Amino acid sequence: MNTFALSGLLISVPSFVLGIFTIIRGQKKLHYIWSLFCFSVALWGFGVYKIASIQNAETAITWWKIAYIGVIFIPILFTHFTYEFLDLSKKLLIKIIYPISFLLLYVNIFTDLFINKVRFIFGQFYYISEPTIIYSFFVLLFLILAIYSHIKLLEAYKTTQGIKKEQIKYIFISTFVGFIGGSFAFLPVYKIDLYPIFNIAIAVSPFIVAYAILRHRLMDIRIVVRKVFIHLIAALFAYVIFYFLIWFYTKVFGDVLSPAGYIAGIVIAPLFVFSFHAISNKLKKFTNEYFFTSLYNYQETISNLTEELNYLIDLDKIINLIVDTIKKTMSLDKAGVLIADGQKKPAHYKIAKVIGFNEKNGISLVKDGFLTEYLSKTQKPLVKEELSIILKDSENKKEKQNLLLLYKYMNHIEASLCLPLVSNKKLIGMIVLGEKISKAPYTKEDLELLDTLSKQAGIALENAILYKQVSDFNKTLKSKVDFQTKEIMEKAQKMQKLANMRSEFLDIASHQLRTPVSVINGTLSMMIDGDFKEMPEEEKQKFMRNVYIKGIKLKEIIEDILSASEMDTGTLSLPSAKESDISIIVKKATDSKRGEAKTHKISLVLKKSKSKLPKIKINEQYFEHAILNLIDNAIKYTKKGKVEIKTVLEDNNIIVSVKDNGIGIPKKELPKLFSKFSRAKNAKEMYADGSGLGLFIVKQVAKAHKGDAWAESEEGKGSIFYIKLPVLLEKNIQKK
Amino acid sequence: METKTGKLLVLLIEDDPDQVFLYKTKFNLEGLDTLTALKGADGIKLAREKKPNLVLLDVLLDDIDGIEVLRQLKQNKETSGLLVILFTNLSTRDVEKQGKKLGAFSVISKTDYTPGELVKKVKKILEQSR
Repeated sequence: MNTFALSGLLISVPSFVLGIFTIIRGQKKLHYIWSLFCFSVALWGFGVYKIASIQNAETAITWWKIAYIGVIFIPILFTHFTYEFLDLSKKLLIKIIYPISFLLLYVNIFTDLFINKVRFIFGQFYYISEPTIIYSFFVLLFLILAIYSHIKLLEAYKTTQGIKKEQIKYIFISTFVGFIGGSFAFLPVYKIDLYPIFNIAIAVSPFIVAYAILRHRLMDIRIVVRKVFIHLIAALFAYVIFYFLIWFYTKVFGDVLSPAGYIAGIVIAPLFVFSFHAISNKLKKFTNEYFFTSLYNYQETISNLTEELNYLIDLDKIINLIVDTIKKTMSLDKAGVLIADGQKKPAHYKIAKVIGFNEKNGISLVKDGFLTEYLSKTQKPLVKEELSIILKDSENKKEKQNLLLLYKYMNHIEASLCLPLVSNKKLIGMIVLGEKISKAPYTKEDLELLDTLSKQAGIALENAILYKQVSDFNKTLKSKVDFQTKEIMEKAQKMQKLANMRSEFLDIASHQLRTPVSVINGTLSMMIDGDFKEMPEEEKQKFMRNVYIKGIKLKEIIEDILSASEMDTGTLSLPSAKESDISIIVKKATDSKRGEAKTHKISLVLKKSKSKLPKIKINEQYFEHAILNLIDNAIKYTKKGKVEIKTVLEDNNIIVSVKDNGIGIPKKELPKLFSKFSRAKNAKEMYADGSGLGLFIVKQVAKAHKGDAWAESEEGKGSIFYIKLPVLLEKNIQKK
Repeated sequence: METKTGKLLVLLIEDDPDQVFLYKTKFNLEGLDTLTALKGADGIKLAREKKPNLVLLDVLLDDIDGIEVLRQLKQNKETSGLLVILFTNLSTRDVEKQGKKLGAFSVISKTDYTPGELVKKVKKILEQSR
């Protein structure tokens, strides 16, 4: 066997094995493309192996053609793989080159236009010589695609992060080495007689890729590869020992089947079994350490988790940790934690976290039942596959039925394993796990680990739940304190506002009191000064009348002020509000003003509401005062005519209106009419001593009842004053 | 500025006709010529036209309040030199502060002075300012 043949063997076997692995695990397009690529390379390798030993030109041409069936597809499959691996979307190139590749394949197999001449070189084998145009075209295509794909990989490497970056790196190194080495094989075709030794470089590629698969989860196929790796090495060990022994026997005993050999075998056989076991264990350890750092190592997983659980008190973090740890160490597709809601009877187990499970299948809510009963009783992991065995053994008919239901239920929610989470002998929740990604069953080791893990988790979770309850309580307490603080602040602000209003009120009230006093006192002082002695009678009379009117005014103002001060201005509260019939109050107020109206020659008309008014909660005294003020105003500012008082129900509001045909109010003055001490200009001409408080009181009373007061008027024609009170008042009245 | 008769001229700006009647009667009896205005705007107009020796200005008025009247009087070159006395029933603390700032000569509370005392005060101020 020459070096060229050896290179072929070294290329074909690993490539073929890698291709097989990938196709076994194959799930995605990516896997199949890669396998095909591997097979293409393997075919080239196998072809080389054959060609290297063929001493006949015609047979050589045939094998060259066979080998090139693989070679033709190497560039396009590699480019296709690169596109798929990097998730590149423009696949036009591939769509064009596949037909070209198949065309080349056709030309290669059925015509002599691709390979037609060979020459004997290096004194060893027949090599293609005198390349055809189509062959040269293929070589060009080969080089372009190889370079192009590697550029794409390089670009992606620069922009990618994390594990994908690592994967790209290994793919790049592997194929770069392979393609460079492989490209040297074209040289002798073009009469550059360099021995195609670099072909061996291709053989390195599968190993680099295999390493990346194991170490960097390339294409997610390591689980299978791991097993294969272990078995392969173990088989290799057995194989090496076998041939060593044959060699040893022939050397020492002259023959494998010699009697001395049998005796030696008695010693060698147990030694072999023992060492095989040891080697196998070493291998597992080795693979775990070097290829599967994230696959679990018992002691370490448990001690790490325990340590981390000790630090955590946050429920969500603990649950995350548990789910992540289990899912990662066991390589599972689904994992979840359900926590009992103890307040409900029967207890509900609600999702705290799930990954992978379809929540619609019922895992989102597990009620207390046979499953939870079973878990609390056994306090051991419940494995779905084991259920069928337990089922067979069970003799109790009812239990059998329940177990069957349980089996079906677990199937339904796609659970393979249920772990009880127990604290103080009480089931506080459960961990539900799906299948392993490798579809392998849970091993005894797994179950031991999960059992220990769930016990640790149970304690940590119970602590966290208690802690959460305490902190929730604290939160409630804090929000209550905050709420009360806010309430106190609001009250303080209200008090301040009240105090301000009181002082403002006093200022203006004193002004209104001083005004008549100054006229009365001024007039009296003039009398004392003797100014009246020579005064004409008419003037004297005017003074006396003024004093008298100011006296009456004083009395009225005092009454108004007393009323107004009784109402906490602005935020007038209603200490004695009660359900009252508005129409009765309005009638009472109207009747009490009939006398006054008569002296002013004004007819007072009361129009009752057509519909029956609902009773509303009001302070009767204030409300009557407000109505009286309105009727008073109407009488005072109307020279002659009529005043009409009307009560209506409108959109859940009771509206009392007082309409007069008096002097009216200038439009400009309407808005400020209801402020304190405001009187319309023309009001003064008519009746100069309005306290300025009447309408203010009306407004305050209305506001205190969450209502409103306003006026409509036309100067010279009359005015209508309104008080509106909402009907649904109970909820709205501010409590004192 | 004296009137043709040589009497001193006082302008009373006050919205309550009863008070106007009271003070005007007393002032006339005491030999002061008195002009009256029920509204602020009228008062400003009269002050500009007649240049009274003294303006008695109420604060709470119908149209524009007395403080605003004072501001306008003081802003106008023709009237800025007039003696203005704010004459009010409002609590004088706030009014005094504002009035003094705007150039009122004095702030008098209506209830603190009988009409007779007011006349004496006015005459005294006018003599001092001659």
